[in-house]
Amino acid sequence: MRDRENRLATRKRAKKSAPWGTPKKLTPLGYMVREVWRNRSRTFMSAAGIASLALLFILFSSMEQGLDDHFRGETEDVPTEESIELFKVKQVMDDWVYLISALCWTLMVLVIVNTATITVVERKFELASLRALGLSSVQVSFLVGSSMMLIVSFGIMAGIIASVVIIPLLDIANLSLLGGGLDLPLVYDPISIVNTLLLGLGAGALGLIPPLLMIIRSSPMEVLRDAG
Amino acid sequence: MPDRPFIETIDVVKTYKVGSSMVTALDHFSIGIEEGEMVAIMGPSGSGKTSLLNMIGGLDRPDSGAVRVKEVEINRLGEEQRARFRKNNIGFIFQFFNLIPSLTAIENVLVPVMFERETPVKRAGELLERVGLGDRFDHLPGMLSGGERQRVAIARALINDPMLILADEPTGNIDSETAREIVSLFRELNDEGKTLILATHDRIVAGRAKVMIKIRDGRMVRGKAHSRDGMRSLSPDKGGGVPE
Repeated sequence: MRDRENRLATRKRAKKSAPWGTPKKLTPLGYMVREVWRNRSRTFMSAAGIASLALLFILFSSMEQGLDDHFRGETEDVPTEESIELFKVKQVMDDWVYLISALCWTLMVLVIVNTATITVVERKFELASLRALGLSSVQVSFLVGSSMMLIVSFGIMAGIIASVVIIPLLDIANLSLLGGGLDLPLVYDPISIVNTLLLGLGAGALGLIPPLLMIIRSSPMEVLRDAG
Repeated sequence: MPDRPFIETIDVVKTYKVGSSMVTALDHFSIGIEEGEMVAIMGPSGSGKTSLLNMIGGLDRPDSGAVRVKEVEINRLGEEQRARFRKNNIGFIFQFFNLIPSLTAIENVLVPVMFERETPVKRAGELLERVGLGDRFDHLPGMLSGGERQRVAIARALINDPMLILADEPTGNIDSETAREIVSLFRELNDEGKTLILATHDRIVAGRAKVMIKIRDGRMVRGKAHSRDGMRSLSPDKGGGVPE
């Protein structure tokens, strides 16, 4: 009777095992991915925010390229008074495009700072435990930093994929600027993808500085004492 | 020169800022602990037990005085050096287990060595078998009882085969029956030559230790050691004593 109960209890416990089963080993990458998955709702929201900003960034790059192409046609001949005026308009529009692109990038940095700081604050007890167990602050920073960079990469990739679909559609829809007075062709520039990737990763690296400093400066003992 | 004790705190003073006032956690605290001892540190909350463990474990540094473990003055080491020292020489066991919720039992045991080139998975499995969790390798902490979680934490503390194990209220969050089993496990480890220092409120747990130290307001008020001749007092004035 007791044996049967034990068998049933063991079977019940076996059903409760982690879905991925027993690992061959634990690596920092495995740990990092598991943590990203554990906080998947936040991961998704942050990646979605970064994706939207990456999409906007590529959209404005395409707009800038479109403006270039559009005005090149108008102004490449002998400069006339009209073409000089158009050139001035283009410059103003360019400035706005650059300004909005810079704003997108700044927002991306802020999203990353925000997400990474929340992660560090929420997981401070866990991170302090890791340090108490002998991981150095550099190793703990690597775990947090690389999981954030994973989220940033997801976000940027999602933004790029979305841009491949959305920008041609917007172009077909014939996006109109200046109250319909100027039909702006969007020109999808592959270089903007590389730019977005580099600027996104740069934003990630910059946005990680404050939370990683928090880890390096914090005392694991103080965190563990407060938790106790 | 006489041999130094395995662990030595010399005139350690530690104060913490709590709100606007300063609290003295350790007040000129001196003690020597020999290798292979099992020491219970008792005292009321706020008496300085955890602070003492943190000093010995290199988690914190004294305001003045010195802390030596295995002849290394750990209060002089930098943050990264202390982390390395902890990893190689000290196993920590916490009251609240401090397991990573997203990792299975065996992965939790492997946490201190995850950056190593060779991950000792086999050893982690053997340790879990040893603490009686041979059938719980791939269970998440949320699926384990308090006692089982503490066993995982003990296995994790042993993964690097440390010479010193520090346990802060190891039975504070588990039932008395499981606490007895955990203490028996500590005795086994001690019999194998590991040095154990336990901070505890529990008299039964402290009673199983070979040396008992009572501290209050950051000072040692009483120390007793089991020896061949029975219980022997340690003098607080002489910085504890080293049982023979």
